[in-house]
Amino acid sequence: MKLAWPRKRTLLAAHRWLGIISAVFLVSLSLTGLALNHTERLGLNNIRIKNGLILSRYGMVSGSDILSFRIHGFDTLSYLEGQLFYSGQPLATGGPPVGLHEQREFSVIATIEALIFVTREGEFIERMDVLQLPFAVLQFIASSPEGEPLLVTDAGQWKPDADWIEFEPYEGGFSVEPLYPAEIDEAGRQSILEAHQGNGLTLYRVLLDLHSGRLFGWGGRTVMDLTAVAILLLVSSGIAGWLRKSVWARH
Amino acid sequence: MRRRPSIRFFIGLCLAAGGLNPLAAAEQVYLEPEAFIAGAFEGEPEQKVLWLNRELKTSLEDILGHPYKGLRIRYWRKGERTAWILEEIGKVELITTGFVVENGVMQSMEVLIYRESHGWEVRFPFFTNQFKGRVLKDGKLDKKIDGISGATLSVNALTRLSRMALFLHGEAVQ
Repeated sequence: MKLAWPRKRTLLAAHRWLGIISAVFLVSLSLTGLALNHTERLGLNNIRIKNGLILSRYGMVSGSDILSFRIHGFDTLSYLEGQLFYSGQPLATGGPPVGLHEQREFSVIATIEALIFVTREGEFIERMDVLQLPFAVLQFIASSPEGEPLLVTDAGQWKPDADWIEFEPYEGGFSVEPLYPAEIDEAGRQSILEAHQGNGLTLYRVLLDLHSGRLFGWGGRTVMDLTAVAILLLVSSGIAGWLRKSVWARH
Repeated sequence: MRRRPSIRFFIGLCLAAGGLNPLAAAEQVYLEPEAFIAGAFEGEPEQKVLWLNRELKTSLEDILGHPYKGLRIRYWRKGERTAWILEEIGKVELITTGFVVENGVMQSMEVLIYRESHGWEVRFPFFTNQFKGRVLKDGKLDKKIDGISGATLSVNALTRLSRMALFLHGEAVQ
């Protein structure tokens, strides 16, 4: 049986469409491949990526996600993804602060699920989980009309003793002690980000993952696989077209 | 005509299997700390704090093998009996454990909250009962604690915590 060559028009159409579709990805492959081959010369390992969209692809966060509040005058209390920082240094794990009470010996930071005690210098003293407290959810730190600290919780108001060891129910008026937002400078932001997720991403890592398609997860990898298959098909359809022309020319 | 099981049925089945899988559990509260303290004493204990000076922090670092983060530790006391709720990382997550010590002798140990995906067998009495009656001898437990295959890191963490509880008891009652 004689193998029939595909029609010229079919071959050309397939070749053209495959070429157009895969061109975008081929350009990406070529450019990233060229850059990766010259990593040292281009210093790709020294360039850090700070783009929030790209960082989020790696489960990382950018500096804009940091919440900061004023503590002890000029220091800052910051929160980023389940971690609290005192003036840029890791303090304790915990949720976003909902209250702060400063006193002479130590200060108390309230999060929804814990009380965190720190010295005036920002040294961690103790963390008290709500499991050890007579309530389940902390809402605010408030003060009584006499100026004593109070905890406003899902189970009413509670008054701590001077050392914050025992808590007793409180009924009466109170005013919430607000948290004062603070701006942190670039150095502080970088310090928090480095403590939280290391030195971040290099351009080399991003280009390598763009080259392989991994930057876009399973979908990106599949597209790059299909691009590789498209290249093989382009080569095949190109050779088939050329052979067809040669065979016809002999006849 | 018999109906074929729908895709929803399979999704439900997978979700149910995920829920039943012990490896999928993130945080298991076996005993609320409050309930542990209530069961540790006859009557109401006094809640106290032990402030850690530099010397105590150094001793704790020797016991734990890493610096202890914190300047005070909360405990409960009635007479010569103390109860401690301490935490230590097994592999990557904290294990919350309760200890009761009387006259320098470990009375009981219970895993209260377990957060690791492996090694939760340490909560069973066949393991925790080994700590009953233990005392500190030259900074170490007087008897070797038998491990559990596949839970070595959790066993080591709890052994360190038991030494810490006995040490802290000594400091608190002296």
